[in-house]
Amino acid sequence: MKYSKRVLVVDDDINFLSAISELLELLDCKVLSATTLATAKRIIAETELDHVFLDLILPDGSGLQFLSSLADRGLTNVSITIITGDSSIRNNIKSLYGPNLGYLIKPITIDNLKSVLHLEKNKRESNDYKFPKYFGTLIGESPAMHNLYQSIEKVAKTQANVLLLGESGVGKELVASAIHSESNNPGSFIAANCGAFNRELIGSEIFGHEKGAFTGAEKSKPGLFEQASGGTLLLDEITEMPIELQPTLLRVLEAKNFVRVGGTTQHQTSCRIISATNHDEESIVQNHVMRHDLFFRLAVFPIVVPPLRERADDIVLLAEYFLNEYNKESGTRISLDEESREIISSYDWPGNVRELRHVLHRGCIMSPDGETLELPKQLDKPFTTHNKKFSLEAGQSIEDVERNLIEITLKKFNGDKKLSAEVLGVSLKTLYTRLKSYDRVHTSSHNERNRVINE
Amino acid sequence: MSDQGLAELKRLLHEVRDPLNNISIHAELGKLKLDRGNDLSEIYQLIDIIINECVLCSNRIDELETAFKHNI
Repeated sequence: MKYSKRVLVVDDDINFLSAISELLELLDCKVLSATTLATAKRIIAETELDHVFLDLILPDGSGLQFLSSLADRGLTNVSITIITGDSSIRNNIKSLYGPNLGYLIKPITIDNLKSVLHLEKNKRESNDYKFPKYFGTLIGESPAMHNLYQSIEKVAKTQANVLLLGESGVGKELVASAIHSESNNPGSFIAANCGAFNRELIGSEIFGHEKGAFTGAEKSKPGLFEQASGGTLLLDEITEMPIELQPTLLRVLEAKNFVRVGGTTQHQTSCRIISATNHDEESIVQNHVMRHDLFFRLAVFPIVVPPLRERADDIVLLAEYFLNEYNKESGTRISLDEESREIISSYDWPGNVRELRHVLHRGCIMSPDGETLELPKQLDKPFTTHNKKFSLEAGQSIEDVERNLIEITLKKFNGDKKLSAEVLGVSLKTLYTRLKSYDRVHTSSHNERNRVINE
Repeated sequence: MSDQGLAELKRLLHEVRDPLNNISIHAELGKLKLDRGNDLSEIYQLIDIIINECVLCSNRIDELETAFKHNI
């Protein structure tokens, strides 16, 4: 068997020693243990180690004596973690051994251990055994989700750019975060919504700017590429990026360097780009929302995130997870009864997981007793064509259909623009822009009518 | 409070963390074993240890309370 780390645990508490040893073994470490200073010293003389967890108070001496033994043998490359109940130790320990010395304050957790050992995260991590989370973020046991997990696992090992395709509300940002987390890239995960950028400032947001580059640029600012250096940059709603800026992005992807707005210095890019859109590949091509050359650069590894209706097996699992989260936050005991299961299972969830979450949240708020979920008897389908107030007919322009859809969605959610934007799958800014443009059309036709009347 | 009294309180506070540490690490082990489908009897053993450590923790808090009363 290939072990991830060779670890020695030194502690005289037998219960603790036994449990932590078993835990570390389950994390694929080879574990040796010692209850006394003498045994620990003998082990380091005979065995090559990567890491030592050390208690300071031992029956036959102090853990500090053990540190001296390691230093005497020139073994300062072995990482040491002191497990202590005394938080004041943090100020004193660095001078004792060197940079490979750290500490954990009791009580310790599995995340503490993984963190100090730099262990790879398991694909399936669970904070709650009833709701296993894959890559720490994704929930679902359907075949569609397991296919998705396989794609994530494969692409995470590479540095290939990924294009996430999927309807609004399917969890594309979570998938991007899972790819980043699984990649173990040292940099940060930076997510940006291209639809939310100010059109004039989008270049500065992505590439950064130098002081004085434009009015208001009082100091230089790193852009998204620099913030995500060594990590992952998610460009969400990539198809909302102005077409005139796309050649610049393409050039950066090809040359792997960029210049801040107003600057002259070349900066290297060292991050993976994950872009996401709720258009499908066909629609991207037909609607000319992305240059073909940029599309091929970004879509080295396209991943389709399945809509909730294509993983219907997960609806109840996700619903129970959201209810569990709500109950933890609110101290309630709301559960799904048979009728609620039937209602949520038979609905097609055009707004996907996000819509499910919102419906359940509302159902919890409406609960009369903190135990019963109060769902509407019939979930509405504002996006389906048999809605009486919204029909598709040949001859309508896309603009009219879009406007009609926005209007009925706003009406449906009592004018709540934030919720409407989420359900429509556009940014709040995009929704405001659309409404403003309708206003302009309305005002201009109103003025035109007045002009005619006045004449 | 005397220096000796303070030192004693500090020692007792420090000792309360030991059973807490055992509770935490046994709970983590239990979660991992459940996640990997281990036998439930193993989980019960871990829960028994956790309960014993809770009792130990409670006893140490009692000691701490007594020491605190005497030192004020």
